Amino acid sequence: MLPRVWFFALLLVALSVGRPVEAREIKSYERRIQRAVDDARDSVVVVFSRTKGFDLTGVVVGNRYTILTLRAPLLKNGSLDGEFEVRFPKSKKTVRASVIAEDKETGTVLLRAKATGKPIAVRHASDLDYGTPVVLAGNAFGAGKESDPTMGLGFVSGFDRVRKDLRYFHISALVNPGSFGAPIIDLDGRLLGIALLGVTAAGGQTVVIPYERIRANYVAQGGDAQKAIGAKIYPRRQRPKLAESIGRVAQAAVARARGALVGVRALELVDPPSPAPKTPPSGPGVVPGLIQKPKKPKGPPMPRLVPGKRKAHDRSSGLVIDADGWILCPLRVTGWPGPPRVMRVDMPDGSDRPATVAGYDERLRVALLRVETSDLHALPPAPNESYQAGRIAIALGFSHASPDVVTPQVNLGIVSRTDALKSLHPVFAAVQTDAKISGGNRGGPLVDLEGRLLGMILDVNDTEGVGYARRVRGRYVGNAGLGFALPMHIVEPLLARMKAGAKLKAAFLGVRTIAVTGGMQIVTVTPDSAAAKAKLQPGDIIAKVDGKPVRTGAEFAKSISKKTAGEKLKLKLIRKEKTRELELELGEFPS
Amino acid sequence: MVRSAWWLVLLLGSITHAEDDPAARREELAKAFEQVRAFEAELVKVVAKVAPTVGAVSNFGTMLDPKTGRVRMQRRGAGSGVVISREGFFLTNVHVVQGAGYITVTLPDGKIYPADLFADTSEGQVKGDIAVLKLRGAKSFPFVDWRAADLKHTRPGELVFAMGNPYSHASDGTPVVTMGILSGKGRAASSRGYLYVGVLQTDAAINPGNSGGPLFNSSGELLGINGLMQSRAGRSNSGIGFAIPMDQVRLFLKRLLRREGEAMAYGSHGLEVETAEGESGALVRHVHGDSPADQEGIRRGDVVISVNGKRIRNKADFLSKAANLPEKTFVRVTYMRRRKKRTAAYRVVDSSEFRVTSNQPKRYRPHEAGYLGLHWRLARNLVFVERVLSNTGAAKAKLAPDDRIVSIDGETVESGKRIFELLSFRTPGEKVKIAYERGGREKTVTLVLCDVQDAAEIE
Repeated sequence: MLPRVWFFALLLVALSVGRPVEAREIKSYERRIQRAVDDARDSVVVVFSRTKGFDLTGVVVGNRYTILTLRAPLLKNGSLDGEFEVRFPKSKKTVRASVIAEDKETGTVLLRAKATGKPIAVRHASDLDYGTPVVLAGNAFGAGKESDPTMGLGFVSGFDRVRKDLRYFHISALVNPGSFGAPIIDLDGRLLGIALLGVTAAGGQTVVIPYERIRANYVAQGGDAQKAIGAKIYPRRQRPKLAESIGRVAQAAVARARGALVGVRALELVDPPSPAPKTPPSGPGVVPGLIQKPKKPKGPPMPRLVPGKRKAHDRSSGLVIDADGWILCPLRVTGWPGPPRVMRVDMPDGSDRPATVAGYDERLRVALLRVETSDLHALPPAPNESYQAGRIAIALGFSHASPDVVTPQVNLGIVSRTDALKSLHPVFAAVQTDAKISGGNRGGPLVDLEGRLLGMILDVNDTEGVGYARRVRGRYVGNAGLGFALPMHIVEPLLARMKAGAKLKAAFLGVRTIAVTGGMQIVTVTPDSAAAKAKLQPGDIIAKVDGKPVRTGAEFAKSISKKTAGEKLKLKLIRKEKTRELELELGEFPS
Repeated sequence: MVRSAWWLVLLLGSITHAEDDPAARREELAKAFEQVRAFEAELVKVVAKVAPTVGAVSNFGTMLDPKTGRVRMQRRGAGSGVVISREGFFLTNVHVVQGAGYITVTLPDGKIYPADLFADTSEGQVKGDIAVLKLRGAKSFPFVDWRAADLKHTRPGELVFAMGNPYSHASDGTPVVTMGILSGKGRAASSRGYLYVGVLQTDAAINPGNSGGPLFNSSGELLGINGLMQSRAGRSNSGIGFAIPMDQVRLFLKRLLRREGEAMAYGSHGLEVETAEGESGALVRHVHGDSPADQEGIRRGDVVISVNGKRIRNKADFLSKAANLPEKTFVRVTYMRRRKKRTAAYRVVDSSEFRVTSNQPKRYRPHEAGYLGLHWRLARNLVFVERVLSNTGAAKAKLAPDDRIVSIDGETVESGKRIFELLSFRTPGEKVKIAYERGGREKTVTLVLCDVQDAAEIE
């Protein structure tokens, strides 16, 4: 009996090894994406400007002959005269197109092409949630000219509202040459808006003009424009499917985490322009002293404090870590390594308060700010299982495109790995995400689905491995999808010292070593370093650091880099076969 | 019946209430939450299943130390890859391990395994980017099944996971996972002399260092090998990454896994094609001399409609179905010539085995090229006929002064330079189709180009 049971058990194990993972929800999600794209495929067209030799993407709206696309790429010498062609990827027909109407306010144009496409269904964008999955279908790098349009999945990441009207919204799918004007569709295959080009400030996000706004403008124009665009707009579906559920859950997570997100600004001192010396008016008809009274001389003009605008590090996000006004933010915003700057913090309620830099940690690149308040709230920490690779992670912050400091930018991604960034500094055990974060996200919270804190988004820049969007010729293009966040368990042990005003710096011992049996043998000692002060000599073997044996260079380096300058280090030293214990104070890196 | 009607009423009631009743809304949110949690759990499961098979590749090369003259090993590059068999066969890109003196692979268990280049596709003028390494240092490795994924039924829109070592962020072995969707199939892209035809496109973030890394589908099956990206942002992700699909890789793997030291090439027909206008097929623009296609009589102007029974509708089809085969693969090419179907059968070969003649049609300078036989004047970007030279094609076609030249062979004309450009591929005696506007009406005429020398004599 027993062997037979074993046989079946083994068979089961053998079968399960090679079997694909059962993924019901993912499969239904994929089917939704595919169906949405299938529905929209007949409506996405390639628009080609003969006069400029430039192609972009358009979408069939309203009646079958109307194509909506962007105006700016079609302009030549400021006018829309020119020859345009539209290619329908499905029927592979290329036909001439003429301009029906243009709308300068939204920067769009309606074209008429004598071939029938399928008008796309449209829906309101004003009821979108943060994190709602959307598809960008376009002709990136000319892909649609040969075959089907290419598509990217993104999530709704930001809103730009004036009062209650939605002017723009942002998504995390990226736009490329050729996919300017690409339609953004929801997972029901319905049009939400079209992708703008050349919006430089979005920080690796795509700015979208909502269709309802475009439509309203053409309807207001009346005549042909109104006739051409006349399409009904639907609200969102009531029955929640996974796609909408992701949006709702993300929105709820944002609502929970919003209170811990603040905007951080550095002010700079600006000398006022020296007033031009006024000469009293003279000439015929001017009676001196009658019109102008001589002004009392004022004191010398005072330098003013204005919001910094010039540098990338003038603005960032910040993370509230407790209710009493302690806020973590990226170190570089505070002016480091230069002189400290005057800081202000934009509170969740829209007010702004002065802040002081209490302390910082150079290794972690975080500064601790203090704001006089007590009505903030910190986020609960995420449990360990939220750090598994593949878990959904949501990044909050203010991007360069954020219209104000109240509406955050929200990006959805997954946890890419944990324990990352060790190569930057051994003290890091960062959590990495593929959420498309931008420069303004630095300092903001990365949370899990329930709005619990995974970490503070780190200020890791291009040269260290491209944290966020790249800036090419003043424009943000691309987004590496490699974001890092600092879990709180790394910061917490240091908080008390930082609150007390500590400026934590990397520790420097000042020895070069090689690994030998029994420990690390000192080769050279840097003059004036901690090691020199403690009279360590070349030839000494360091056997233990703080009671732990060190066998490799990596182990030894780690044991020191865990500490900060000024901390004590206990060494067990072997000199001329004699063992001695000594304690020394670690120094700073020589500048 | 009555009962079901009751349910309906209850259901309707709950829907109408859901909007304003906070309790119902909470419940709805809870349901949504459950659904997303289930989705998330599946993502974690897929990632956890395949992550142990992904490795970070380090490529060390020898370097002479300028200070001492000693030979040193130095890391020259980093990439990614995936284990595809228990005994440690490891799939990566050629450009990751190219020129390496010494290769190591760090797996997620944190251990560093030395590896040897086993076989690759580095032969040929245009190299393929598939390389197989053999890992040493363990009896059995966690691996993925390289035969599992069904690429035929894989459709754009599927969720995909790219794993690897972008910017060496996974140098300790734990791979970086990025998620996206399959954006397209059958794409063609070329880079650094490597052949990328019929490849998958994804918007999962792919960055330098992801090269050679696996692209998995949501069932955890190996879909392809990441190797290339297209971006405005220099060498950084902009949502367009390419992966060599496993069905293409498999054609090579069967041979690569069998023979150590094998260097294979992609097979070439010796054809340059473009999408045929107005009909389905790939138009042959150029045939390289002595190539298999040349020997079997395929000529410029033929339209390839199928290869090995697979329909070819355009250039992309030709590239993804016929240009991605290993050398020595036998192909049967069906093509159209003067509305007649013809067939040629041959083996595709490494392109270095035949003469690669220029793939660009020869360009002639204006005084060598075919001549229209007319003078023109420009008004903004309109071209008007100024004078027609007698005894030339233009005269025979009865073009007259003040006609506006709209297009030549369907290409719009807006400058004299453009006319030269369009005619630079034509020789005297060839025919061109000219569209012109006279009295508000557009007409088309075919005229024979003449020799500039003849026209000069006429003057």
